[in-house]
Amino acid sequence: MGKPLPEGAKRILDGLNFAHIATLMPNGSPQVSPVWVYRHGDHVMISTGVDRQKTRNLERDPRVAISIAPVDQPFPPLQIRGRVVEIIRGEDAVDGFVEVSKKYGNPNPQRPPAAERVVYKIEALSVVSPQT
Amino acid sequence: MAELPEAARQLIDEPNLAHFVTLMPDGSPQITPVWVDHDGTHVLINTAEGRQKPRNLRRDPRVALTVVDRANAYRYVQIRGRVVDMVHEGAWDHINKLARKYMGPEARYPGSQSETRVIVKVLPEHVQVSGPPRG
Repeated sequence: MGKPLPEGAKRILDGLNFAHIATLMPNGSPQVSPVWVYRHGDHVMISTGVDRQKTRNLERDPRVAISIAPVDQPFPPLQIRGRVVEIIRGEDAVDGFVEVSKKYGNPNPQRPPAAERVVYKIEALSVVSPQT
Repeated sequence: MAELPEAARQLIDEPNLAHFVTLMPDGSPQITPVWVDHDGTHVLINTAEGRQKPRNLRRDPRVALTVVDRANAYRYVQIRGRVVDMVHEGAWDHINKLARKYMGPEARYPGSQSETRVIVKVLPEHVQVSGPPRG
């Protein structure tokens, strides 16, 4: 079962911070990339392109880890281990792209082709974060 | 042995954090923001015995890390590699060197002196630099 996110985790996820998402390569070795992130309730949402290494990795193995160190106050950081519980495609994935683009400062993002986008909904299994 | 590309060394020379991934006993990833250094060939991380990271690294040396420009998040390097050595000798001097880099020229590492610090040497096997070069 996923864990509720502490207020400090929600604050950092809602801030204009980049997240670093770790996934697993076919041979089990780790891969990590910086991404935009947004939040729906207690779920971490990652919007990305369908042609990325992390996308291929997440389709095969849903286990992820995420860290965020806010630029203005990097420590204590947010660290999450979790798993993808839903893969969102099509126009719903484009909606996710629009939502995260607006969050990061583009008020009128152009809608990309639905076939190019995917959103991963991630539940937290372990959270280390500031409490507030 | 692969040299670190100049663009990667630049990013690491600046006081940018790394996000460092190790593998848990069940093979799932674990990630933490860390101070980072290099010796021209290896990426150097400094951690303390007793933490999850060194336990993970002794079981499985495969790691990944990103280093992002703190002023421009679109300039970053992604590295995959493996740990080739973990050394205690000089590790306290090294963490104090990192404290000066990240906290200021007079800084010392604020953690407990009772910690056994360890330098983790990562041999990069796959390096990808993104974003505009600087300078």
